[in-house]
Amino acid sequence: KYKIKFASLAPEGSTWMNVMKELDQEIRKQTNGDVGFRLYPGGVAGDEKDVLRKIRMGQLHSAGFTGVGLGEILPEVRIFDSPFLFRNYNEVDFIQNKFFDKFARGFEKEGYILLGWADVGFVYVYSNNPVNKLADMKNVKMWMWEGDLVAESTFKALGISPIPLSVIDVMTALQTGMVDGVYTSPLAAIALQWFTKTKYMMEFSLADAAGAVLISKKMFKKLPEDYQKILLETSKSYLEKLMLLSREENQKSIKALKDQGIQIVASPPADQMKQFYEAGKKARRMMVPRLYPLSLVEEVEQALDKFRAANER
Amino acid sequence: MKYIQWINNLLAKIETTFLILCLSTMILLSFTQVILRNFFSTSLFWGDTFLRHLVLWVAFLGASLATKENRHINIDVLSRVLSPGIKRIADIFTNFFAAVVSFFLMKAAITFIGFEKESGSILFAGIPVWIFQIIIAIGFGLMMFRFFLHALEKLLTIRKVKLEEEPS
Amino acid sequence: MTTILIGLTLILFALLGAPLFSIIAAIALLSFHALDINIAAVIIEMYRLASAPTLLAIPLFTFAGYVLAESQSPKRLVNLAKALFGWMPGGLAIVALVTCAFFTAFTGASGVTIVALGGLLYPVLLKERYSEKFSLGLITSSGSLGLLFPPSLPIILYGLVAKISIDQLFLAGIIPGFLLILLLSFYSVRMGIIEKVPRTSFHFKTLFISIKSAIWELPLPFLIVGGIYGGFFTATEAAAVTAFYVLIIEVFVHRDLNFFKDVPRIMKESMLLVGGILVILGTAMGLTNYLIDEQIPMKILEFMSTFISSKIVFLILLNILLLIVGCMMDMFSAIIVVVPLISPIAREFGVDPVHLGIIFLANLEIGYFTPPVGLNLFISSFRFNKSIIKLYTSALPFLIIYLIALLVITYVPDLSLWLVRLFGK
Ligand code: NA
Ligand code: NA
Repeated sequence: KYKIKFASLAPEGSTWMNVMKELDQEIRKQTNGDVGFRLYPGGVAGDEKDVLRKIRMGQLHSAGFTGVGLGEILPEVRIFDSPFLFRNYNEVDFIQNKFFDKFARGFEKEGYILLGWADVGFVYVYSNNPVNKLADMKNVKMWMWEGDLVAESTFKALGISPIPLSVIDVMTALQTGMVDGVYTSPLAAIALQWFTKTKYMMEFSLADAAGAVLISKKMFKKLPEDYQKILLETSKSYLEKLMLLSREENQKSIKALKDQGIQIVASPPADQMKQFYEAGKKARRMMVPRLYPLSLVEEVEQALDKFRAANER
Repeated sequence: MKYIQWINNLLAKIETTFLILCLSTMILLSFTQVILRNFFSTSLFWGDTFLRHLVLWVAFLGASLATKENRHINIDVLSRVLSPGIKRIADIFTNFFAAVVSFFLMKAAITFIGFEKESGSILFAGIPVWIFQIIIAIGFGLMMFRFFLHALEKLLTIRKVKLEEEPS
Repeated sequence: MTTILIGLTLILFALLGAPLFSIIAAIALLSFHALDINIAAVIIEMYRLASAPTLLAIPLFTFAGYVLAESQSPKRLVNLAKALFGWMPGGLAIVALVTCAFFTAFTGASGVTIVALGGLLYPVLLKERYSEKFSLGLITSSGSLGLLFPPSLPIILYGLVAKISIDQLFLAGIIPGFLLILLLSFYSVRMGIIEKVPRTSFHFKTLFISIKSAIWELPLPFLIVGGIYGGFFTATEAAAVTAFYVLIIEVFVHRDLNFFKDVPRIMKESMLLVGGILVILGTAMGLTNYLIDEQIPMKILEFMSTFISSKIVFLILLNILLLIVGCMMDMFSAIIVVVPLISPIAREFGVDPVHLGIIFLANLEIGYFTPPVGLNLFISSFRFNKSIIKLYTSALPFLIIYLIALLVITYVPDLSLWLVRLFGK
C-alpha cells in the first residue's frame, strides 16, 4: 500500500543493497505487506544531489547518503567527515550515538527523518610515494573531490594544494600522472580500481566518512503511527547490522589490497601523529561558521577527549 | 506584428551578446585553470562548477536563438513530399505544438527553480544555485514565444496568399 | 486507446517536422503527468547538463571546429593530406577515418567528433571529389569510431559499473577497434577507385611546401595527445586548450579571421548547434528518468531472460536490444542503467565479462547512427544542412560494414580476449 522509493549509489549485489533487501522483507512481514521499499541501486537515479531533488519533488522518498548529500541538507553533519577526528570505530559509535537525537531533530526541521547512521568507514590515502609524516604529503599530487569544502579545508590545513576533479576523471588522471594520490575507503579503492594505479596505502586514516539513511518527512507522515514505529525501529537495527558488515568488509578489503601488492605504510611516530591531529583541529576550525558553529566543534572534541580519558583508565 | 518582430530582434541581440559573453568566459576561464594548475599549482576552486553552469546557459541561449532561425533538429520526413499549401498548415501545427510543449517545460522549470530556491542551496561564494538555473525557465519561455510567433507568421501568410489568389 | 492516439499524433508531428526535442519532451511530460509525479522531474534531469563534467567539451570543441572550418585551414590540410596520401586510392578517406577514431577516443562524447572534425573534413572530402553521399556517410559513422580505444571514457565508466578491470577492457578494445578501421579503410579504397577520385604522384617538394603552410595546425594533435597523456590536462580541458589555440592561430597568426567581425558570428553560429544538441540531450535525459522510475529496462530484461535458452540467441537478442538502447539513450545513462542488468544474465550464459563490455560498447557505437533516431544522424543533418533522409541513405553502407564487424566481434571472443590473455593478469 505504501511504496517507499529508495535510491542509493551502492550497486546491486553489494552488502549495502543486500541488507536493504532484507530490511524490505522484514518490514513487509511486520506490516502485513502494507509497507515496502522499491529499490533504485547503483546510482541509476543520479548522484546524491539529483536524488535529493527527486525527494523534494516527491518522485523518490528515501535514500542512503554519504556526507556530501547529508551536508546539502544539514551542513553540521559534516563535522563527522572532518579529518583526524576519530581514531577507532568505538569512538565513531560513541559520538554518533551521543549525537543521534540532536541530528535527528536537525534533519526533521529540514523535512527528513533520520532512519539510522550508515557510515562509509575510515578513509585512507593511497599514493605512489609513501607518506608517514606531514612533510611527505608535499610530495603527493593529491586529488580532491571537486567542490567539497571539507576536503578543501583538510588539504589546506595539511599545507598542500590538491587537484580538484570529478570522481569519473580520477582514473584517467591517475593513469596519466595528473594526480598520484587519492583518498577513499578500502572497499571503494577496489570498486573504483584506483588501487591499480597506486603503490602505497597509509595505515593512518585520514577521516571517517559519514553516511546515513533518510526518509522524507512527507512520506513518513503518510504512514499510520504503528507502521512509523516499526519502520524506525527495524531500520535502525538493520542499519547497525549493515555498519558492522561494511566495517568487516573494509577490513577484508585492506587484506585484498595487500594481496594485490599494495604496501601499507605504518602509522607515523607519536610526535608526527600529533602534527596530523593539530592539522585536523585547524581544518575543523576553518569550516566555522560555513558548516557549523564553533560550539559544535568544541562539544564534539570535548566529548571525545572525555571518552578517551575514560577508556585509558 | 511589426512591434512583435522588433521585440523579437531586440531579444535576439541581447541573447547573442550574452551567448558570446558566456562562451568567451568559458574559453578563457577553462584555459586559465589549465595554466594555473600546471604553472602555479593552484586553481580557482569555484572554476569548474561555474564552467559547467555556463554550459547550461550556452545551451539554452543557443537553443532559443536556434528557434528564432528555425534551426532546430527535426526528422522532417513527410513535409518534403507535401504541397506548399499543406506544408504551411503543417508548419502552423508543429510550431504551435512546440510552443505548447515549451510552455509546459517552462512551467516545470519554474516549479523546479522554486524548489531549489526553497532548499537554499549555495553553488559557491554565497551565490544561490537557482540564479544559475533560471536560464532553463527563461530559455523555454523564449522558445515558446518564438514558436508561437512562427505559427502566427505562417497563419498570416496563408491569409495573404488567399487574398492574393481570390481576385484571379 | 488514448495512449495509442497520443502516440500516433506525436509520430505525425515528428514526421511533419516538429523539433525533435519537443517530441521527446512531450512524451516525458505526459508520462510523468500520468504517474501523478510533478513534471518538474523532467527538469531535474535536464539540469544534470550542468553536472556532467564531460559536457563542457561539447561547446568548446564545437567552437574550435567551426573556427577551423571557416578559416583557410581546410585548404592547407587538404594540400598536406594530398601530398602525403594523394597517391593512394581512398587515401584521404582513410586519413579522415583515423583522425575521427583518434579524436573520439579522447572526447568520448559522441557528436562532438562530427561537429568539431566533420565540419573540417567534409569540405575537404568534397574538394577531393569524393561523392556527397560517401563523405556524409563516412563522417557520420566515424563520429563514434574510436570508442574502443584508450583512454575512452565510456570504457572507463563501463569498467567501473560492471566491476571489471579497465586495463583489461582497454586491451580488449584494441583489435576490434582496428578491425572496424580496417574494414572501413577497405571500403574507402574501393569507393576511391569507383568514384574515380583523382590521384596525384608523390613529390617531396610538394610535401615540404604543404607542411610549411600547415605548420601551425600540425602541432594541434600532438598538443592534445601529449597534454592528456602527459597528465597536464583532462580530456575536457583539452577542449579548452584547443579552442584557445585555434582562435589564436586563425585570428592572429594566419589572420584568416577577423577578431571583431568573424569571431562573434562564428561563436553564435556554433552555439546554435550546441543549443540544438543539448536540449535534445536534456529532454532525452528527462525521458530516461521516467524509464528508470518505472523500471522499464528491468522489466524488458526480465521478460527477455525468461525466453532465452541458448548463448547464440542471447547474443543476437542482446545486439538488437543494445542497438535500440544506443539509439535512444545517451551513452553514459545507457551504461549506468543497462550494464548492471545484463551482466549477470550474460555471465549465466558463459559470456566473458570483458568480451561483453566490448560487445556492449560496439553496439552503442553503432546505435549512434542507426536510422531512424540515432543521434549522430541528426547532428550531421544539422551541421551539414542536409535532409535526414539523405543521411539515412548515406549511412546505410557504413551501417552494414559496422554490423558485419559487430557480428565478428560478438561471435569471435578471441578477437577481444587474445590481447588480454597475452598481457593480462
Ligand atoms: Na564518442
Ligand atoms: Na545514443
